[in-house]
Amino acid sequence: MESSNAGKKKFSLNFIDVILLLIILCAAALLAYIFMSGGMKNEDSGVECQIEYKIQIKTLREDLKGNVNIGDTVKDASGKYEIGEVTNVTYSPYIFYSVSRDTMQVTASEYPDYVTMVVTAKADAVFKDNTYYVDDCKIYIGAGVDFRTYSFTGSGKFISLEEVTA
Amino acid sequence: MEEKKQGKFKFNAIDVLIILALIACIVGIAFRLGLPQKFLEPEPDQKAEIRFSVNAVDQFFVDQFKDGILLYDADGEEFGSVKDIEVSVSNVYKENDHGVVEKMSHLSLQDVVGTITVTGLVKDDGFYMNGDTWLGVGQYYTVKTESATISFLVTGYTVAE
Repeated sequence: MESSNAGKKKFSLNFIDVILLLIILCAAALLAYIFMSGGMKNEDSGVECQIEYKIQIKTLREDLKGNVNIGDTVKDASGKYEIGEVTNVTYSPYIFYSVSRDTMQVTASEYPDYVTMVVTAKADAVFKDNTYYVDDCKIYIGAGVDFRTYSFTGSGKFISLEEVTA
Repeated sequence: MEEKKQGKFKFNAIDVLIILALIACIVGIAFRLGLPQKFLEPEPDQKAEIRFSVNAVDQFFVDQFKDGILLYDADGEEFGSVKDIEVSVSNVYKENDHGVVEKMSHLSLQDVVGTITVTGLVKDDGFYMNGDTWLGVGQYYTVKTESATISFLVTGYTVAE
């Protein structure tokens, strides 16, 4: 009789055990749900490809020139996502368009002390849902992008995008 | 009585499993927050000289910049010390009647350029001030002197060898 009682005691759960087990079960269920829903999202994994795109910063202070270099990694401004590698950098005068009050004609002139910078970068991308993704970032012409390289940060726009062969 | 007391504090297998699960959770959270890397990283002890620019400010603001003054971040921690201050008349860009932008000198506003010496760490993707704030040319940072708050633009930097 005694040994039977002792056996029963061995497998008994106390109230705290039950609460903790329930918490662990809830956490496990939550994790399973997160992983499963993530898995469902990844069902359409898309087509892997390599892309080349250009980011334009239209008005850049001239004294900030020369801080983006070929080979630099391009990241989003937070530094969390890698979105490419710089293959070329060009600078041109920033052209200011206006209307001459004398002639009422559209005029184009160089804006003093400012330049336009274009950064060309290549990246391994995934094409899905009719959009190119690099490290979960959407890349499309016209989209604004806050980016950074090794020592430079700026805000620009994607002005070209094409698929290239590796 | 003694035996009963001892039995009260006995762990069963489920208790052990639960404790292990809790420890695993704590370890997981620590890794997620990157705490192990923080402990493994070397102390931020590399010096860098930041070239900065503050544009179109009044004289009372210019007076804040003196060689040797200390700057502090928003938390009151030391940010760096200032040197090589140069003050010049600020430029104004104005469109003329022909639709062309001309550069002119402002009558009262001034530009300040100089150098701030900071301490940090070089990592794979750049220089991190105090080991945690990425330094970038083209970025604005806000710092404090003893009596003013100043935003400056980073126009370049050099890390000391």
